[in-house]
Amino acid sequence: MIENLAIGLNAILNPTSMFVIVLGVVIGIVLGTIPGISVTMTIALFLPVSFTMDPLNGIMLLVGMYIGATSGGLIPSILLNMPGTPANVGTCFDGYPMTKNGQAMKALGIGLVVSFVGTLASVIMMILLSVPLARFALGFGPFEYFAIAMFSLSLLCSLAGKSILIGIATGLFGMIISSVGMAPIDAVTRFNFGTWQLSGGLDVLPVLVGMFALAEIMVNAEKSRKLSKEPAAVIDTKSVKGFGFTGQEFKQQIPNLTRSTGLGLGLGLLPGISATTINLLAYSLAKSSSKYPEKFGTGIMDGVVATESSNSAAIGGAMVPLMTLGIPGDMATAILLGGFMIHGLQPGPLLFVQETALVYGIFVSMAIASFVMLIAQFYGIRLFIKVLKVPRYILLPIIFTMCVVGAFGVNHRIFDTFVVIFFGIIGYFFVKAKLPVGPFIMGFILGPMVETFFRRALMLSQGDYAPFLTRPVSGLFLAGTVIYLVVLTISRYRARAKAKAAASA
Amino acid sequence: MKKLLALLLVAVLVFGLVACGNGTPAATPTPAPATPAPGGEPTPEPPAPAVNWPTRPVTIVVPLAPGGDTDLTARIYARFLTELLGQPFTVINVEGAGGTVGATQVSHGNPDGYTVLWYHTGNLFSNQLTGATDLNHYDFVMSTIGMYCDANILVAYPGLFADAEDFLERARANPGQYNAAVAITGVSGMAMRLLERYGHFETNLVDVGGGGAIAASVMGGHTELGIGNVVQFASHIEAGTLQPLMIASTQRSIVFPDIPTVAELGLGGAEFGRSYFFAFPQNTDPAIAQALSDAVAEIQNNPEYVEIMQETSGMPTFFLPMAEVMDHISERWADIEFMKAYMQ
Amino acid sequence: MNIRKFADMDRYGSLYAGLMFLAFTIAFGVQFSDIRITTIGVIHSAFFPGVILISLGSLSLIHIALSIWELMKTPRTEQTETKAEDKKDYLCVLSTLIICILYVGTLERLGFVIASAIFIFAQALNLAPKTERKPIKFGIIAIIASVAIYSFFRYVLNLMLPMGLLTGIF
Repeated sequence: MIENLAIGLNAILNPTSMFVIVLGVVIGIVLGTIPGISVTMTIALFLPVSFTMDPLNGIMLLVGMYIGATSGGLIPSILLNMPGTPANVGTCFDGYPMTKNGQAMKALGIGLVVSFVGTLASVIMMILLSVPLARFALGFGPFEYFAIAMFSLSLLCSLAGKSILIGIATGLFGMIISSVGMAPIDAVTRFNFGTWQLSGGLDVLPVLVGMFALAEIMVNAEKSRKLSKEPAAVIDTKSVKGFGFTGQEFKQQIPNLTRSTGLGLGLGLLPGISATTINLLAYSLAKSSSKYPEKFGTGIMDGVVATESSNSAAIGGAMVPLMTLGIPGDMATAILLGGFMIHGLQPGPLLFVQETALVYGIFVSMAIASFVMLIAQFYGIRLFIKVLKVPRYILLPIIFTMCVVGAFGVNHRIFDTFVVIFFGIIGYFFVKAKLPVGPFIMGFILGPMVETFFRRALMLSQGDYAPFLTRPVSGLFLAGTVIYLVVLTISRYRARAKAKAAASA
Repeated sequence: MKKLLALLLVAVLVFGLVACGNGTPAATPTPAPATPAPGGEPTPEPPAPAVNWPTRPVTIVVPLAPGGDTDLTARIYARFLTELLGQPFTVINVEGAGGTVGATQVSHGNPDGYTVLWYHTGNLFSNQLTGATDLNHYDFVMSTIGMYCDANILVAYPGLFADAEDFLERARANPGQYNAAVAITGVSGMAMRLLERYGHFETNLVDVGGGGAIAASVMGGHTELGIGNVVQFASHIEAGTLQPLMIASTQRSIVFPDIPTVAELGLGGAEFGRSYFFAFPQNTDPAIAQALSDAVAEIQNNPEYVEIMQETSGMPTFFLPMAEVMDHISERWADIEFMKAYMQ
Repeated sequence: MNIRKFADMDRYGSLYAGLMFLAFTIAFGVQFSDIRITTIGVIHSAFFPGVILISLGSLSLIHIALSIWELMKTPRTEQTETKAEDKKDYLCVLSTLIICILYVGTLERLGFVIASAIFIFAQALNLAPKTERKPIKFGIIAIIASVAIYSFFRYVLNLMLPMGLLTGIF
C-alpha cells in the first residue's frame, strides 16, 4: 500500500501534473458556481481536452473538476438561492437564509470546510478500503436499492413544514412530474401530451434551474424597481476572521458532520445513487435527528454541513466502484469511465496491477486536489462576492442567460429551456403559496428510483414479495421506514395536542 | 460600474486570445498517410467534395450515454473526420429511452448537413421490436456504416456451471430457474432472447440497466447469468470474477479465443451483430451524406484509425458505403423482425 | 364582489395549492389511458402513475375541503394598507416572465448572441429602478456579456449554442 502510494506520488510530482490538478480544480469551481452547469456537464465538456493529454494528466484533470465543481456549487446556493449544481440543492435551504440573516461568510466558510473534510475523508477511505467497499456494494441488489429509496422518500416528510398532508401531496406531485417520458424497464411512453419532445422526459437540471433560479428572479422582480443600487447580497467580509466560524461551533457540528460524511460515502458507493439524492437525504436525516428540527430552514449551520459534507463524500464513494470494477457510481463517473476508455484503459481489478502508477497517481491527486480546492475556493469566495457588487438588475439577467446555456447543454435541445420557464412559473407559485420545495425535489428524484427498483426486484423474484423483508438490508431499511413514519405521526400528534392545551390554557 | 466594464472587456480579450490559441483544431486538412490500398492502387487523395461541405463545425449526436461503446466509437471517428475534413466534428450526447430520444431529435432536425447521428442497429431495432417507437432507417438520410460489432458474451457467476454444455443441459431442464441480467429493451435483452430461442431454453430475464450494471449483477450474485459486450466484461473475465460461457459471434474472439461460439454449440443463428451508422436528418441533401460516406471510406485506410478502433471495440474495422447501407439494414431487419412477438 | 381579495395569497394560497394539484391530477389523468400495458415484468408501467394519481387526487380533494372549511371559519382580518415599501410589484414580475419567455422562444431563430444581448438589455431595463435606467450602458454590457458567454462556451468548452441569424459567421 505505502509503496503504491509512493509510486503514485512520484508519478505526479512534476510541474505539468501539478498544474493540471490545480487547473482542473479551479475550472471545476468556476463552472460549479454557474447555476445551470452541473458537475456532469463540466466533466463532459472537457472530455475532448482530456483526450489530447496523456492518460494520467487527462484523468486527473477530470477528477479535479469533479471535486472542484461539487464544492464550487455551494457558493450561488448560499448567496443567491440558486443551486450551482444539482448536488448542492439542499444547501439553499439553510444557506440562503443564513445570507439573509447576514451570516453569508459563516455559511460559505463552513460549507467549504466540510466540503474539504468530506472529500478528503472519502478519498482516504477509497484508498484504504476500495476493494472491500466495492465487494460490499456489489451485494446490494434491487431489493436493497428499493428499500433505501423508499426510506429516503419517507424522509421527505421531515421537509414538509407545518402540514404533512401538503408535504406528501407535494412529494407526489414531484413523483408524477418525474414519470413524464419513457417508463423504466419497458420504455413505454407516459404523459407526453402528444409531443415527442416530452417523450424524452424531464431532466432534473432544467427543472431545478426553473424552480430555483427563475423563480428567484421573479421573486426579485417584486421589489426590484424599488431597490436602488442595492447589491445582489449584503455581505460583511471585513469583520470575518479565517473561515467565519468558531472552533466551538465546529465542535458542535461534529456528530452531524460524521453522520453526513458516512452517508455520502456509503450511498455514493452504490451505483445509481447520485450526490443529488444524497445531499437531500443527508439534510432530511440531519433534521430528523436534530434536537431543534424547527430551526432547519431558518438559517442554521447544520443544514449546510449536512448537504456539503455528504455531496463531497459521495465523490470518493462513487470512485470506488469505478476504479475497482469499472462500474460508474453516478453520471459524472460514467463520463470518467469514458475518459479512461478513450485512453485505452479499462478500470477494474487488472488496472491496479497493470497501471499501478496511474491508479495511485489518481488517488494521491485526489487528496492533493482537496487541499487545492480548500485554498482556491477560500479566495474564490472573496472574488465571487465582488461580483455580487454588481447591481441585481444586471447580474440576474446575465446569470439567467448562463442558466439557459446550462439547460440547453444538457441534451442540446431548446425544449429544455421551455421546461425552465414552465418550472419557473411553478416555482414562483410554490413561493407565493408557501409550498415546501424539498419534498417536491425528493419526489421528483426518488420517484423513478422507487419505481424502477421495485419493478426490477419483482422481476428477479418472479413476483415473490418475501425477499423485501427477508433480505437483511432491505428488511432493515423498510422497517426503518415504518418506524420513522410511526414516530413522526406520534410526535406530530403530541405536538398538536400540546399546542391545543397551551391555547386553551 | 466602470470596474465591471473593464472586467468584461478583459474577459472578452482573454477568451479571444484563448480561442485563437487553442480550442479549434487545425483548420488545414492533413492528408491521410500514404498507405497502399489492397490491390496496389495508388492512395486516393482526400475526396474533393461534390458539395461545399463542411464549411463550419459539425455536431455528431450520440443518443446514448457518454463512455459507452457508441460514444467511444463516435469520438474516434470525430477525431479522424476532423483531421481529414478540416472542420471540428464535436460529439454531443442526447440521452433518453435507449437512444430513441436522440435519434428522433436528429430525424426531425435541421437538414443543413451540420447535425449527424451516430447510432447502431442494435437499439434501432430493439426499440421497434418492443413497440417503444416506430423510428426506423427510412426516417433518416442514411450515410454510411462505420463499424460492426457482434461480440456478445454470455457470462455466469463463476463455478455454477462446468461449461457451456453443462449450462445448456441444466437450463433446458429447468425453464425459468436461472436469472439473466439484461437491459430488457436494449441489445442485451434481444441477444438473450435470441439465445433462448435458438437454444431451446428459458431463463428469467431481469432488467438491471446498462452495461456496468449487468456485470455487477452477476458478480454480486443477484443473477446467475448476464449478457453483454466483450469490452464490458473483459477485465472481469481476466480476473476470474466472471465465467464466460459462449460468444454470440460468427467467429471466436481475438481476445478470448477459448470461448466457444454459439454455432459450435448448435445455436447457430443466434448471433446478433449491430451495425453502427451515420445518419442525417430527413430532407438533407444526399450529396452531403455521400461526402461523409467518402470521408469515412478514406479513414478506413488510416492505420492509426484501424489500430485505435480495434483496440477500443475488440472487433475488426468494418465499413459500408452509402449505396449499400439501406439494403444492408433492411436485410438485417428482415432477419430479426420475427422477434417482435417475444418482446412485447 | 372585490376580485382583488382573491390575490391575497396569505389567505387563499393554501386553497390554490390544492387546486393546482387537482388540476395536474386531472391533466395527467386524461393522459393516463394512453399508457400502453406490456407483458414485460411483473408490474406494468401504468401501476405507479395510477397509484400516485389516485393518492394525489385524494389528498388534493381533502386539502381543498379543509382549506375551504378554514376559510369559512376565520373571518377576513382587516387589511391594513400595506406600506409603500412592502407593496409588491406584480406587474414587474409578469413583465420579467414575459421577457424570459420571449428570450427562450426566439433563442433558436435569432441565435444565442443576438437573443441574449436583447434579453439582457431588456431585462435590465425592466428590473432597474426608474432612476437607474441607462439604456446605452445596459446595451453595451448586454452585447459584451452575450459575446463573452458565447465565446467562452463555444471556443473554450466546445459547447455549440444556436447560432440563428449569425449562422456561418461565428
